[in-house]
Order: sequence, then structure tokens, then C-alpha cells
Amino acid sequence: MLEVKDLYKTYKYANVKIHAVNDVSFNIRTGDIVSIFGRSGSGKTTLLNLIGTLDRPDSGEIIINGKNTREVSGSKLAAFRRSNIGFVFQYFNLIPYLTAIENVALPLKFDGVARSERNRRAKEVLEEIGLSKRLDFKLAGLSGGQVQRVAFARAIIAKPRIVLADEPTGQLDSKTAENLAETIVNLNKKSNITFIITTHDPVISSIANKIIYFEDGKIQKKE
Amino acid sequence: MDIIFDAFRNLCRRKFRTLLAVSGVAVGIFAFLVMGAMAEHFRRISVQFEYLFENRIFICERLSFWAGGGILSEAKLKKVKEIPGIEEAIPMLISRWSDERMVVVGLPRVVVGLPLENIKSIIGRFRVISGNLALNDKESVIVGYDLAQENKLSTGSKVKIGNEDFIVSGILEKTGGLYDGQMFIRLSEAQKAFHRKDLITSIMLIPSPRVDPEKLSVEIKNRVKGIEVIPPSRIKSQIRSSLSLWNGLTFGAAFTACVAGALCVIIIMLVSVSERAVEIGLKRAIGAATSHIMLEFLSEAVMVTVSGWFIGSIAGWFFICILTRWLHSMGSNLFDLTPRLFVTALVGVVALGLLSGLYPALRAASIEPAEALKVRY
Repeated sequence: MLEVKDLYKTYKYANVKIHAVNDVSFNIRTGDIVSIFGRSGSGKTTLLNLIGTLDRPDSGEIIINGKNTREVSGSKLAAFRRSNIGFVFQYFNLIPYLTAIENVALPLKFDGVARSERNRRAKEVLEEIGLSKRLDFKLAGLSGGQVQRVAFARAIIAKPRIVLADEPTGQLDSKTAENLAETIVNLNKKSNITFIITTHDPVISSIANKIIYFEDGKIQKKE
Repeated sequence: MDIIFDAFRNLCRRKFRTLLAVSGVAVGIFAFLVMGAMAEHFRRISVQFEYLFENRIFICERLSFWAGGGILSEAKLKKVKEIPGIEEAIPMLISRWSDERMVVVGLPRVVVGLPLENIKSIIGRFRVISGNLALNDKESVIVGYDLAQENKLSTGSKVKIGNEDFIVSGILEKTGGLYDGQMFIRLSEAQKAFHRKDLITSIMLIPSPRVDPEKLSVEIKNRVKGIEVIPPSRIKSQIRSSLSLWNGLTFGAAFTACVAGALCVIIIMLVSVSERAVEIGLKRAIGAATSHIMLEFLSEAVMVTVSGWFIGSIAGWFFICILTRWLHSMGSNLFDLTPRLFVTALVGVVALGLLSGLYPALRAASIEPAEALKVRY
């Protein structure tokens, strides 16, 4: 499903080279929940951005569902992301002036889906994750946990093969984090979506069937 | 529909800034419409001038300004008529209708005295909307369209010219030019009304067929002293040069409007791109293609310029209506607000929106999602 081979990514700040991802290789099967566990600054977000095609590696290969991401560029890249990858970002990154339903429906809009169909599907997904009473709420009217669940709803609405979540519980208390972990497990069971989650939260790691320990841009250990 | 709705919502989120940008474009459109309406007015008059004076020679007193002021005696007319190659020599007495206002804006309202037998040669190319072109009675007057409208005249109405009363016998159709503000009476009656017995202000010559009007003009000038002979080529060149001036002014107004409008749009759109970098990065990350982002910003830019066009058009139309009313009350007109001005302005603002929105849209589309998403909302 996902194959990462000999991946390197180096940044240069003030003439100092930082090896954010340094010779990383691993495989992930369809339906896995994978936790990339590591401290802040260990290169987890960079790895996720590379897998999500938001950034380009210096060398190495990322093969998603048989397609090498190096071969996808330009306008095809946006379509590739839409159909294969869903994102949940560290700081939620919902658009604050849109309502929950509009945020969730956004990826479908870029796919050219009609407004009524978008809204119907977004409503369906929000109901599934228990937010049916918050459809027309904007970011300011939602709690941290609700916002993060909206972000997950947006990530899965286009039925991607992989959802990449960057520290999804970083801004949540432990109880809300547990609820979110439960939501992830339910979504995984129901639609067999692969989840790759960077975290340093043991709650999230506990639901993963594969854990990759990451430090200084390198894999230290796989479980 | 999605694009229009989104553009509208984004612009409404920054009301004051949008209002400023729309105002900038609106002021430009206002200036363009006002200048354009004046240019249209003079273009119409010029076109009619060219049509009416095609192959015709105009004679006036040497020191007079066009038909105003100078006086010719009918003896001069006799001398001119003796020159071979003239099919028709039409003496005219042209005078301002009212002496109440010494200064007028635009073309003054005038009375034209014509010999009965020449009426058709001068105004016969136009139809009457009521009455006839005959001037059957001594007191008959044919009135131009605008003059009739301004003074609420209809066939049978009384009009005072000089100290004499005249009866409207015909009203000309709208010609869009000179004749709309004129009245036509018999030459003898005009001479009586303005106390100019045996005097005229100008002569209109129609050359015989196959006679070169330019050569005929030179010959008249050589043989009759103390008159100004204006050949068709001079009339045409004067019309063309005044038209060029007006076209230049309109082009200048349009250009200024474009520059001012484009600057307004570019500035607000660039600010908007900077402010919305995270949002753009997010949209790109979740599947927005370059074309989606560009379209979003281009549609906002076009919406700003089209809104500016709408407001500027209403303001321009309102301003011109008020000014035209005032000018009509003074017996004059200066504007022709034609539909093509609005259409030209609309096409212009759409193009302006696309051009001025292009650079900000390209900037937005070039935002790297990974970089943009490092910033926290």
C-alpha cells in the first residue's frame, strides 16, 4: 500500500545542514494504523509532508498504491492528493470563516462535486463522528475535540486510501484524546483506511498496530 | 455559481478594504463615462456635420466666427451666384434664439432663416415627427427635436422669435446633431425678426454635378473679396481634428481609470494573498489545483472591478442626467450617454480585473503548502 525507500530530506538554515529525514525506509499495508512516535523536532512532520507529497524528497522513493510519487507532478499532483491522501494537521487548520459542514465538504469542491451532493456527504460523515448538531458551527463555536473531529471528517470525505495525521492530539486533553483515538479506530474499521499518525501521545500509540520510533530523522525502532 | 458565491463572501469579509478598491474603480469608470459621453456627443455632431457639408461650400463674412457675428450683404450673394459651376446658392441668416444668456455650454439654440425654395436642400434629408417641412405661412417655424422637447412645443404651439410670434408647423425627428437645437423660418421673416433687412450671415453653396468643390472654392475666393470660403476638405479636417481631441481626452480618461483601478485591485489582492497564505496552503494540501487557487483570486479581482463598474456607471449616469437637465434648461447639451459606453466600460473592467488579478493569483498559486502550514491560525 505504502512503500518508503531510502528517503532523504535535508534543510539548510544559516549555512547549517539539517538532515530532517535521513535514510528512511518502511512498508505499510492497507488498513494499518501506524504511529510514528518521536520527540518534537525529530523530523516526523517532514516525513509526513514527504509522504503526503506536500514536499519533495532530495532522494528516495515513495510508492503509494503502486504509484511512485516522483512521477506525479503539476496539476496531476493535486488530483493525486485528492483521491489518495487525507490530511489532519497539527494545528487543526480548519478555515475559520467556514462552517463545519463547509470545511468538511471542501475537498469535494475541488473535485467538482455539486454543492447539494457535497453537503449531503459532509453531513453524513459529520453524523458518523457524532457532530450532527454542529453542522453550521464555525471554528470559534467548537471545542478542541470537536474541531479535531471535523478535521478528521474532512480528511476522509473524499474516501482516500491514507489519512496522514500530524500530532492530532497535541492540542487536546487526555480524555478528549481518548475519544479521538476511539473515532480513529472506528473509521479504520468501517472504511479500512490506512492511518499514519505522528505523535508523542501514548494514547494514540496504543491504538496503532505498527509503531515507528523516530529520532534525529532516522528510524530507531519498529514494532 | 460556487466561484461567484466564494468571491462575494471573501470580499465581504474585508468590507472596508473592498469598498476602497471598488471606489477606486468606480471613480475611474465615472470619469470615463463623463468624458466618453462628451466625446460621443461631439462625435455625433461631427458625423452629422460631415454628412450635411459633404461636397458643400460654406461662405461667411471674413472676420466672423463660423456663422456667428459677421454680416454679409445680399449683394455678395449676387456676386457669388455669377460664378459658373454653382447649382444652388443658399443664403442664410443664423442668429441665437435668445439673448438672455451670453455664455452657453455646448451648442447654442439658434434660429436659421432660409429662402422658402431652399428649405428642402437644407433639412429635406430628415423626416418630421409631426406637421410638415413646408413653411407654408410666413409665421411658420420648423423646430428641432431637442428644442421642441425643452420648450414643450408641438405642432400649433406659439414661439416668440425676436419680437414676432411664430406657429410651429413641423417638428424634426431626432437627428443626434446640430439640427436638434435649431429652428427654421423663412429668410425674409428672420431678417424682419432680427432687424437685418437685406442682410445674411452665411451662404451655403451646392456645386453643380462634376464640379470640383475645392477648385470652385479657390475661384470664389479670388473673385469675391471680403468673404471666408470654407471648402469641404477644410470642414472635414476641422471636424476630424476636434474629434481627435475628444477621442484623446476619452482615451486619457480611460487610461487613467485603468491605471488607478488596476493599482487598487493589485494592492488589495496582494494584501489578501499575504493574509490568506495559510488558507491557500491548506487548500492546496487538501487537493486544490493551481487553477482552483488562481480562479479564486481572479474571480475576486473581477468582482471588485465589475462592482466598481456598476457603482461608477450609476454615479456617472446620475451625474450626467442632472447636468443634462441643467444644460437643457440653459438651452444646451453636452452629453450623449450611449449604451456602447457602458458596454465598452464593462468589457474594459473585466479585462482589467483579469489582468490586475493575474499577478496576485500567480503569487497565491505559487505558495508551497508545507511552508504555509507551518504558520498557526
